[in-house]
Amino acid sequence: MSNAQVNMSVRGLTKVFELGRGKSLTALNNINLDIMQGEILGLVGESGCGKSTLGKTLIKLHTESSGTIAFNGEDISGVMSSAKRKSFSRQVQMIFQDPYSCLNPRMTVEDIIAEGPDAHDMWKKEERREKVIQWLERVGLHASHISRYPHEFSGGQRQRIGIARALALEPKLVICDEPISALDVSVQAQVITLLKQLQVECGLTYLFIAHDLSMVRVICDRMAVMYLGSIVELGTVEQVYDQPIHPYTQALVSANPLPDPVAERARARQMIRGEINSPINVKPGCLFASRCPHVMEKCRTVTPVTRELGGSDRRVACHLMEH
Amino acid sequence: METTNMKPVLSVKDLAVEFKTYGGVVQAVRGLSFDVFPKETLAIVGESGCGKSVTFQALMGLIPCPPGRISQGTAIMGGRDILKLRRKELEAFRGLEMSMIFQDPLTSLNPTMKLGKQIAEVIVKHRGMTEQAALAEALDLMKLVQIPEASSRINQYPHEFSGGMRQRVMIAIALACRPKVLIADEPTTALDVTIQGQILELLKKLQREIDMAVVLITHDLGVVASVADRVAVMYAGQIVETGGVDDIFARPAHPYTAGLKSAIPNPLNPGIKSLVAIPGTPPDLFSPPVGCGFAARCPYAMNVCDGFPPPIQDLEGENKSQERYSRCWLHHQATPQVVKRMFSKENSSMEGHV
Repeated sequence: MSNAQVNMSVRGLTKVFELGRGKSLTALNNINLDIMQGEILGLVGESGCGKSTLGKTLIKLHTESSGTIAFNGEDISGVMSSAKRKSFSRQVQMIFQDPYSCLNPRMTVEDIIAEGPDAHDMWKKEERREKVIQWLERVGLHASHISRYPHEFSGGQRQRIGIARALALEPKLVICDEPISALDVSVQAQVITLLKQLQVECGLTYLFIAHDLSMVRVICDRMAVMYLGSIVELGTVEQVYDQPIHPYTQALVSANPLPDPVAERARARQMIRGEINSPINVKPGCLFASRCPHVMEKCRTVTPVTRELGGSDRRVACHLMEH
Repeated sequence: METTNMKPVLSVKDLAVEFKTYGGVVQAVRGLSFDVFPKETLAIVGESGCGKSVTFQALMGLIPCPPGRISQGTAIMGGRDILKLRRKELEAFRGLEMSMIFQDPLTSLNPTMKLGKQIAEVIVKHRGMTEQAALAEALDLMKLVQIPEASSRINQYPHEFSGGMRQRVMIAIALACRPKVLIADEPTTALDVTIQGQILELLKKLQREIDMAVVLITHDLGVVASVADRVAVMYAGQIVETGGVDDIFARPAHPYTAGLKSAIPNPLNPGIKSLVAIPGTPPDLFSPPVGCGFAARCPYAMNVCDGFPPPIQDLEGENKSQERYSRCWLHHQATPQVVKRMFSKENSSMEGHV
């Protein structure tokens, strides 16, 4: 991975939501992340850990509080000029979690898919219909679906429309925010195989936000684990899933049920007690300290820094690493 | 777990449920038979719309009628048919002998009522205690389901609790009268994975303490593998395969079970190639197919599958005392050996049955 080109580079990214009355919610806390050209980077964590906020900040649906984001070597932090924003929005697209609410119910499939390309004057008027049909067929739908409305489709089919809508702009980076968690088991595999096939065909880079660890282990190249707004561990899926170092990753992997009763009975569970802390007005110290089985005195007062492991791309933020 | 010699605590025969809609009659459950034995965990697995939740809502008398209707079948529990209970009898039965926990604990709790009182309500109703005594019992139940600082939290409202803690309250309400059967309808689907682990562990522990049977309705094969003793796989309103948990995972006998198993990611066997999708979608239950419901999506479908409903074919499981069958023509004696061998070779991680 070290020779690969960096697609998006994030340094010191922080997002704070002011709640009023002196309260503030730190959704993203000093995020450093490089997304490499052509990879699938999995982003996992429990609900409320900030993974969707990170996705939305990278696509500039939220404006960052501090830190920098560079896309293809170009700084896109802060408020962008409208020309810059237009070129950026064509190159970075998002696939949303809920296929029922992300499509406009009053638009036909043709208008949904062509809306982006129309805004960017990508397609000539006479080729518009033909291009839409091409995209429908690429995502496994039929040309006859072109004049239908979203309510006429099943969840899996709507997600296919969502994928065609995002990819019709020929983006470089696609942020997939839990694209399969609203779908049935047998349909999930259909959508994942489609995403993987299109990634190879179009040379795409994916940031794959998910809470399903098994799916991330199976389809991603690298994975980042988030806890309360911070990335606590990052590395290839083999490193992170198979040999987790951070106690939170260990607990997450250990709680992930395996579809194999024999392996399930044989494994030793490392259950963590307690629940996720509140992200409002966070104090210094490791955020996982209150649930960590290996907690030390230092963890409650000093925020652990992210350390690189032995010259590899693997990074872990935990005080245990110093020993 | 030995089951054949034991008497089932709940025995359902030939249950069918239908709903009248503007578009026609939906046959949600089509001839379902199964037994639940004391102390076991039976997992009901299937995708949305396969009828798994409707089945148990019917047993609990929760199907709105109209538009719903239980068109046939019996469900024997404690010597009587619970589908024929009158309103008063049903109210006495629900929560006392069989209770249910739901997927979304927030919408199942009363937002305007203190949680201690919600738990005590069941105890007052079924065990005839005074409210004072019931509240004391509710406190014990909150401790039983491991809610920290129970004595102060008993006076809180549902919105002050997290998702995992709300589900613990639901469990406390369901267990207040020590039921013989607990139906858990996707109890952990709305929860995070570390909280899911805590809740499943709690359910297992309480099951041992109270000696109750648990019916776990889920679509998550990982959860099934970690807690179930027996599994029934549902598709298009019918049970297509049943057996011990090891048999179902190591030697799936129905092509749908085998397909489901390879459609979910397995971290023990990573790589995109190990993920094989089942093509197509489940059939329309307004007019269910004459033959096998899965035939249109099945890679092993034969001519007979479209025209004739497959009979139940008994199979031999690893544990001889457990019921094991598949509703598939592949296992019929007239099916050519070649086809049988092809299926078992592709789908069995150990020696096949066929």
